[in-house]
Amino acid sequence: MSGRRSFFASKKPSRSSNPFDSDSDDGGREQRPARASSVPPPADQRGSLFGGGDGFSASSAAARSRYRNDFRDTGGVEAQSVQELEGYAAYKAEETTQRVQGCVRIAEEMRDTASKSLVTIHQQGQQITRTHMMTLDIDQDLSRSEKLLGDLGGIFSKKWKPKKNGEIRGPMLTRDDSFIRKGSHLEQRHKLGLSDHPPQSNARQFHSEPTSALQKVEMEKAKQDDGLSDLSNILTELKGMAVDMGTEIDRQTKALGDSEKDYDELNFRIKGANTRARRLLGK
Amino acid sequence: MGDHEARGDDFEKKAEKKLSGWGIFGSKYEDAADLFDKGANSFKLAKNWSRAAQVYIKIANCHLKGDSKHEAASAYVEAANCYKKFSPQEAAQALNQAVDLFLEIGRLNMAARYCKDIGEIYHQEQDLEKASDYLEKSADLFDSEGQSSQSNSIKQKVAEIAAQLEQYQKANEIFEAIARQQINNNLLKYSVRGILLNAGICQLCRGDVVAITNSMERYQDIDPTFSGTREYKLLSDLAAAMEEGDVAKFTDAIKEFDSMTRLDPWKTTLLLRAKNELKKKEDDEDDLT
Repeated sequence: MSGRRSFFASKKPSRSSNPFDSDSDDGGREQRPARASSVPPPADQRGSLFGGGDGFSASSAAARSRYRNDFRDTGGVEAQSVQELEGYAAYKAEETTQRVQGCVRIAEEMRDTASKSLVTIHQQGQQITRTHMMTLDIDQDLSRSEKLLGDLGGIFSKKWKPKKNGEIRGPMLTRDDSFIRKGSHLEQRHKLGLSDHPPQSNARQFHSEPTSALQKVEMEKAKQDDGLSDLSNILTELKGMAVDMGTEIDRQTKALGDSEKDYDELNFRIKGANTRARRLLGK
Repeated sequence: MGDHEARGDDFEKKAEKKLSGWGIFGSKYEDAADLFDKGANSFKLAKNWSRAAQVYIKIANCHLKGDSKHEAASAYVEAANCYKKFSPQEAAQALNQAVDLFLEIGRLNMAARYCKDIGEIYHQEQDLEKASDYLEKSADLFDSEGQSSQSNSIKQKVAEIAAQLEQYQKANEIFEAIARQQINNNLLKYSVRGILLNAGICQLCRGDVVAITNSMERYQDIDPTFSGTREYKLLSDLAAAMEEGDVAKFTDAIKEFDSMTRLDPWKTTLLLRAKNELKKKEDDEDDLT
């Protein structure tokens, strides 16, 4: 950590223009946004939208810089008083809490991205099914065309029969009840205590400020436990998402394979119909 | 550039000449359309978008006279793409004509796509009422084509616009309907809590504490796991802050949530509205005392 800023330590924001801060000092009453206001808050305003302290309330800035380089400037850890070491422990505990919260934040972002990806994959699945359904329409139209081409020959010409390798099957509707769930299923699981994403631990509320450094460390430990519990829940959910994503991608891969066969068959038949049309025009 | 424009003029004159002459079985319209198409391409190469757009409109008229509605609709779409470069309003009008033609020939999927485009044009132009109308039409068309996923993503936009127009009840109903639909699908169930948060924010903007409490019970029925989420905690904290008329508590709840999940501009705008309403009530109470 020597001299380097903690990655997850929050930057000190400028508190000047935070619209969510209680601004009783601004004198006038805030105007209500315009009726059709769809304009998002300006970027600079958004940057300082939610102000907060710099996260380290344990001790002064000078002490913090001393902690940050592990007392290298003041004779190392051994040379410090018990009071200094307690302050150092509190600082380290707070830093660890910041790190854990940073991990939770990243996990939340991953979860958010994953849920968007799942929606996109679902849309993609519907598109695959829809395009495959079109092969059935094309098959019908092509059958009609083949019949017309067969009837177009002269009176004495040999009857033309289109060649076929196989049937056009269209999409296999494999989404059974295990995939699209019944409405009450989630509720039943929940009542059984088999929640799909376990409830997140609501962070403990600490009503009184810690008086000693040891109390501070204990409080930070409790915060870390809450953070790690949240992290565990998010990761469990991410695992479930990954499984569902894998299942759907497997299903789509199979669906694409099936549609490829149908498209090959259509291609073969269209080539045959073209050959027949060319022969008729050549006569 | 000038060279391309001159060629475009030349093709256009030839096409006009073709139209004014005689033609067998309406083939003159096809021939004229081909010449106009070459002219339009030349104008596009010359980056003269207004001339290109006008020529595409002429192509559409040729196809309509030749009773080729699909080609006419495609020409209107091309015209719209040119209009987009300098006049979004005219682009929307051209796309609207394309949509009408696609609906006539039963190409609902294409109609839905271009309806969505029109909605997005109006949204960019800040005409939210029209944007909402066209996006709703698009969602209905996608629904009738069995594309529920596309339809739902557009309905979410409609709900967001409704909330911006202070039609909170409508927005809330749309969000809840989407959540009910998505909770039973393995892939979509994960985004339900975000949708329910949006619905809850709409209720907060209405400022009716009883309605908020009832809504949260409803959300619990939709998704039994919702009460364990940070979204639920945010909504319940905000509802409590509103009930107590405590602006500071309201702010703290938002800050705490934002420290983990960054609030998007839409949520920020609506929460600001809710906060301003709360502040106004607080100020009014201060005036009374």
